[in-house]
Amino acid sequence: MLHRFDINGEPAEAFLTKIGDAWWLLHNGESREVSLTRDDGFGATLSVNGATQTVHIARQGDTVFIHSGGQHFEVSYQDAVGLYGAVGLGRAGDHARAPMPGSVLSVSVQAGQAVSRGDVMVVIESMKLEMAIKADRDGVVESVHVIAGRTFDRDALLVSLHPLAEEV
Amino acid sequence: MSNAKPIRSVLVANRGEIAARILRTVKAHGLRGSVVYHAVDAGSPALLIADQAIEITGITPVAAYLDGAQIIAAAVQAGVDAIHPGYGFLSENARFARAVAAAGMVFIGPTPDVIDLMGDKVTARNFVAARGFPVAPSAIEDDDPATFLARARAVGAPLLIKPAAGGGGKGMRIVRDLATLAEEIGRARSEGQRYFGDGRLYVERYIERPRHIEVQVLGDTHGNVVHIWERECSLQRRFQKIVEESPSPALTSADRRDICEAAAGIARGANYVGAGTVEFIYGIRPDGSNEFYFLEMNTRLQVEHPVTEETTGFDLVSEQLRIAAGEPLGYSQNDIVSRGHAIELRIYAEDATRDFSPTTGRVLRLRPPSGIGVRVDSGICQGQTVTTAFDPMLAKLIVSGKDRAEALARADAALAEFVVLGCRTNIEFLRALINDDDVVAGHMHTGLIGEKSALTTADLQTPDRQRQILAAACLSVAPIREAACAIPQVHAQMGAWRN
Repeated sequence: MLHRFDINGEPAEAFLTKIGDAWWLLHNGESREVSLTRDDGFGATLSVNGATQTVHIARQGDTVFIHSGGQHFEVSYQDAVGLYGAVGLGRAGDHARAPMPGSVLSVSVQAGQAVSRGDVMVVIESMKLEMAIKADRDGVVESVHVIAGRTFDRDALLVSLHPLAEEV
Repeated sequence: MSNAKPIRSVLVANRGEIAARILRTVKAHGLRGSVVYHAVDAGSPALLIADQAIEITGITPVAAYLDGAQIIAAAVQAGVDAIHPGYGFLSENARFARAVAAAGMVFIGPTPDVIDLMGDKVTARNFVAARGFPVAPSAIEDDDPATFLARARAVGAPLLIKPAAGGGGKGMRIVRDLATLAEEIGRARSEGQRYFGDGRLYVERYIERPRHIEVQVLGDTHGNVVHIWERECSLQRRFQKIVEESPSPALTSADRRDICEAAAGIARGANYVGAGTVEFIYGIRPDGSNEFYFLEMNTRLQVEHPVTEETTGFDLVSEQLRIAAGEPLGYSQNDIVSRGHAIELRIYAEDATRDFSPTTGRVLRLRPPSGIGVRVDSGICQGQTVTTAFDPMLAKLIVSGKDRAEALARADAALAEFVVLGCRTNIEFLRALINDDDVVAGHMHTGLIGEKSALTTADLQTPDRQRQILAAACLSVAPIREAACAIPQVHAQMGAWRN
């Protein structure tokens, strides 16, 4: 999931993913393993590729306030880039889109195939990191828009599901 | 004023950091401390310290703290012996001081007559000039309104137009081209009318790249007056001080003695009682010689009084209480020694990158610095909401050291340690300011901040820093973590991380 933020008024984007038990942050073309302890009021420990520092974090609504390295930052959450299955951040859509430019490593579904929420449909490589594009809901694949080896831009359509019948 | 009745309880007619600071000394004296508060200040530090808090109301929160009659009624009902007005609000209001006395209580401050004398900038200036102390060449409108423009022109450019009833930098205008003088006088007059309800003006010589140097004085009811050395307050934004220090790095020891003795002389001439501050403008002439002129006298405790306390060991509020109780100072000028160096940094809720415009928000996290040579006089508690109802000063950080370099180093470390989350502050700006080459070298003047645009546009976001911030933001928000796509172990084992 690629997220758009505004840091002290400047736009910034980051992609957070999990490999096994580890969190990875993709930002500005580079990936770093990151971790953060809970802020119990005395600060949290942020680790970026093993380099640790104490940070203070407070959140209010869509804004995260961070004190790090003697500086204060106000990070307001803008949106998740039109990505398939914005879990917890919006209604599930019918289209899986590319979170950032990259290329397709493998496609594991085809048109007409039934999928369950969480099934891996496409694996892409972006910013030197592989990531799985998963179905956000149960459904049937309407069309696959990419093939292995194809490059794409951000927001490119990867897989579409048959729309759900309107509930009456 | 001599006072036979002992003071056993004090009401603080103020808010924020100064109310808390005064109450601490009141309680250290073993006295009962009360404070008035408007509902928006519920939860502020003063209320945690006070023995009693009395709610006051008003059309606006500021109006409540300016409502002398309501505050006196509250004080009478609470049975207090004295009222400390702090700074701002009613602190330089002679009518309030008289009303406090008429209600049978002690006003902790100078006599109402001295407040009146020094409160009018023109009469104060004339008083000082008549006693032979230096004032800047000037023209006063009231002397002869018909010839004011011509007399103002004769002062010469550059000159400064000031409202006679002014203060706090409001309504002041610098004129460098006399062709615009008449027009600027018109503007200053309407500003004076708007801010102070008084359009009378005066003009005086403007010193280019001036330094603001002020001297703390104390007088008792027995005729003793001393100075407690100087403070330099040249770092200002929009004519308001934000960093103050003592001693001034500008003064030679001879200059220092001259300016401090002039201040004590002015206070002595006014039979000054209590704590006060005589402000001077100090400059270097083109020929290299120095000049200093009386600016004004503030008949109250100043915001920046702690730098004097940290370099001299005095508790100025304690001295105010003793003086109000009729005690003699009990020391002479030679007993008052200034040691080391102290710097005060005002923490404001404002955005330095947007012309210091005020910011608001709930203080979600507050972690002030501590350690050797670090004092924080805070006006907020964690959880309080900062509004635009009052002046945006949240707290004062006062650092001290054996010399200026040590004080600056401690200031830098303390600012880096100062955490205020939820409301943007000027902490980063202050840090950039005290690390500026000219500030480090002591080459300051009141226009320095305006000349250094790099200080207010500093970009904190290096790529590494931005990555750290984004990592902290992403990992601290549960929905973002939940939305992260997990890469199956099988792919990870394939070597997800490629270089």
